[in-house]
Amino acid sequence: MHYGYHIEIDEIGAWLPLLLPILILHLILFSVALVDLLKRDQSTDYKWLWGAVIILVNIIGPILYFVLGRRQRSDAPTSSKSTPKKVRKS
Amino acid sequence: MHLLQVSQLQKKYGNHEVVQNVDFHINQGECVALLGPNGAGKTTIIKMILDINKLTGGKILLNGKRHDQMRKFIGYLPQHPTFYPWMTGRELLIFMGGLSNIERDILEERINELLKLVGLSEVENQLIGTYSGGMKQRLGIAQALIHQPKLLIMDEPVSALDPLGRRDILELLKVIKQKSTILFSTHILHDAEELCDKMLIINKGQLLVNGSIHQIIEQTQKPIFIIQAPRLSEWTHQLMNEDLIESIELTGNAAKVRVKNIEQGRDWLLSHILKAQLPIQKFELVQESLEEIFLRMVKSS
Amino acid sequence: MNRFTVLLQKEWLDAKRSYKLLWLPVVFMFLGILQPLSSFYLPEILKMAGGLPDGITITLPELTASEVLASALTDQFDQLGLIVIVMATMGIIASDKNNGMLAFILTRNTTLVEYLLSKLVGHAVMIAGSIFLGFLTAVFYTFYLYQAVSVARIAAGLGVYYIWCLFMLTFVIAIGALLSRTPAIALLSIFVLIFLKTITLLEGGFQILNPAHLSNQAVSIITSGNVLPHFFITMTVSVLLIVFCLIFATSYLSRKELPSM
Repeated sequence: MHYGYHIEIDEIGAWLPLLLPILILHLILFSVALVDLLKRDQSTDYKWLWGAVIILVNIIGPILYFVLGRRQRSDAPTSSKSTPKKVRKS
Repeated sequence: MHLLQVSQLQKKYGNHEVVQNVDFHINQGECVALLGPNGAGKTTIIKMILDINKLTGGKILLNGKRHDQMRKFIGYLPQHPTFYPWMTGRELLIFMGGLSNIERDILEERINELLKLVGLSEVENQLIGTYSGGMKQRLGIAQALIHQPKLLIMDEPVSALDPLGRRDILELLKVIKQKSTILFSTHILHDAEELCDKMLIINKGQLLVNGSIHQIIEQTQKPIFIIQAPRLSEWTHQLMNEDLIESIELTGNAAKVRVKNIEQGRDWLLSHILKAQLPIQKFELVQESLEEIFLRMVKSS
Repeated sequence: MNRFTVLLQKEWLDAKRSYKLLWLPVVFMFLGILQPLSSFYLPEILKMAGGLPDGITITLPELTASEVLASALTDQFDQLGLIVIVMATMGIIASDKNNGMLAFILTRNTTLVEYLLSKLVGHAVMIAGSIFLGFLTAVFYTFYLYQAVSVARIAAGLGVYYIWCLFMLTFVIAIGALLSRTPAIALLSIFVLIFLKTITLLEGGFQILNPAHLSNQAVSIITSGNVLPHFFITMTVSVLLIVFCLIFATSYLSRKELPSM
C-alpha cells in the first residue's frame, strides 16, 4: 500500500500517441486565434486582454475569442448610428 | 403612366402620425429630391416605397403595379450602409447581383464597370470592414445599380460624409443621373438644388411643396425688405404687433421684414421710419432665396 | 444561379471568415477524445491524485466500449456540446436582423423562407460535420483503448442523435427571430434545451414527446442495438417541432417591421 504515484517511462510512451491529437488540435486553435488577434485593428489593451485569455485558458480560451472577441466586427454597425429604432406594428 | 405614383400615403405608429397623406409622382428620367429637416418623415417614406415599413394607408404604384412585387426594379442605398464587414467589395457585389438573379458572366462584366464608375477598382479585394465612410457609400451606390434598376432610391447619400467625400459623391451622382431615375432624400437644400430638378419639401410628415425648383421659386417666393440701421431692435419691437407685418427677423443691425402687401408695406415702413427718425443705412427690396423659402415653410408648418 | 444558392454561399464564406468552420469541429473532436480517455484512465488519475483513503474502496464500473461511446453523447455532446452549438448559432439571425442587413437583403426580392433555409441548411451541414468528426475521434479512441463496436449501430445512433441537434438549431433560430440581444438568446436557448435534456432523467410517459429523448434513443441504439419504446412517435414529434420552429420564425419575422440601416 503506497500513496503517490510514479509515472514510469514506458507509461509515458503509451500515453503520448493518445495525447498527441489533443496537442495538435490545441495548437491549431491557439495559433489561428493568436494570428487573427494580432492582425486585427484593435487597441493594445484589447489585444493584451484577449491574448491572455487565448494563452492562459486552454482550449476554451481560443473558442471564447472566436465567439465573443470577434463579435463587434460583424455585429455592430460601422456607422455612428448604432441602435436602430425599434418599431412595433400597431 | 408615372414611373412611381404615391397617393395618400400614410404611416401611423399608434396614434402618432409620422407621414400624413403624402401625394407625389416621379416620371422616367427625373431626379427628385426629398427635402426636409431631420425627423420630417423622409426615411419612413423611402422605407415604405421599399416595402421595409408597411403602409397604414394609401397606395404606392411602380409602373402602375403594386410596389411590393416590383421592388426588384428598385435600387436602394440605405442611410447607413453597413453590409458585411467580412466580405470584400467585389464579393458583396457578387452576392447582391446573385440575389437579383444576374447570370454570372454578365455579372462579372457589370461589376467591373461599376467598380470603375464608383472608383473602387483598386480596393475591390479588400474587406469592407477596412473601408472608409465614403468608400462604403460608393460601394452602396454600386450595389444599388447592379441590377440596372428603373428607379434608384438613396437615403441621405451624402449627409454623413466630410466635405471632400461629399463633393465626390455629388459628382458621381451627376454622372449616374444622366441614365437613371433618382429619388434621394436630404436635409441639405444645397445638395438638392445642385443635383435635382424637382423637389418635395416635407416637414412633420406633411408634403409642403412639390414641383420643379423654378416653379417653387416662382410660385412661393416672397419679397423681403432689408432694413439696416443702428439700434434697430427697439424699433422692430414696436413693429411686432402691426397687422401689415408678417414676420421680422433681426440679425445684427439688419432686419428682414416680410409684409403682406408690397405697396402698402413699403409706404407704411417708409413713413414709420421717418416718424421714428431712424438713421437708416440701407432700405432694400429683395426676393427670397430658395433657402429662405425652405426655412420659412418648415418653420410655418 | 438561384437566390438560395447565393445565400448559402454567403453562409459558407461567413463560416470560413469567422473561423466557425474551424473551431466548431475542433471542439467536438476534443469532446470526442475526452470521454474514452477519461473513462479509461480514471482509475489511474484517481490514484495519481493521492489515491483513496484507507478502508474506502469504490468499485468503478467496468465500462464496455459501447457504453463509453454512449456516454460521449450524453456526458459530453449533450452538455458542453449543446452549449457550443448554441454559442455557434445564437447570432445567426439576430446580427443580420439588428444591423439592418436582413431588411436590406429582403429589398432584393429575396423571401424570408429562402433566407431562413439558407441559415438552416448552412449550419445543419456544419453541425453534422462537427458531430460526425467528433464522434469519429471518440470511436477511434474507444476502438483503440477498449474494443470495436458495430459500426452500423454507431451510424444509426448518431443519425438519431442528429435529429435532436437539428431541433437545437431550429430552436435557436426561432428564439433568434423572437429576441434581438444575443446574450438573451443564448441564455434562454441553453436554459430550455438543458431543461429538456434534464427531464429525460425522470420517468414518465411525456418523454415520448420530448426531442431530447432522442439522445436516450441514440444511446439505446448504440449500446443494445434496439430502440426504446415509442421511438417513431418521438421522432415524428421532433420533426414536427423543427418544422414548427421554422414556420414560427418565418411568420414572426414577416409580420414584424425589421430594423433597417
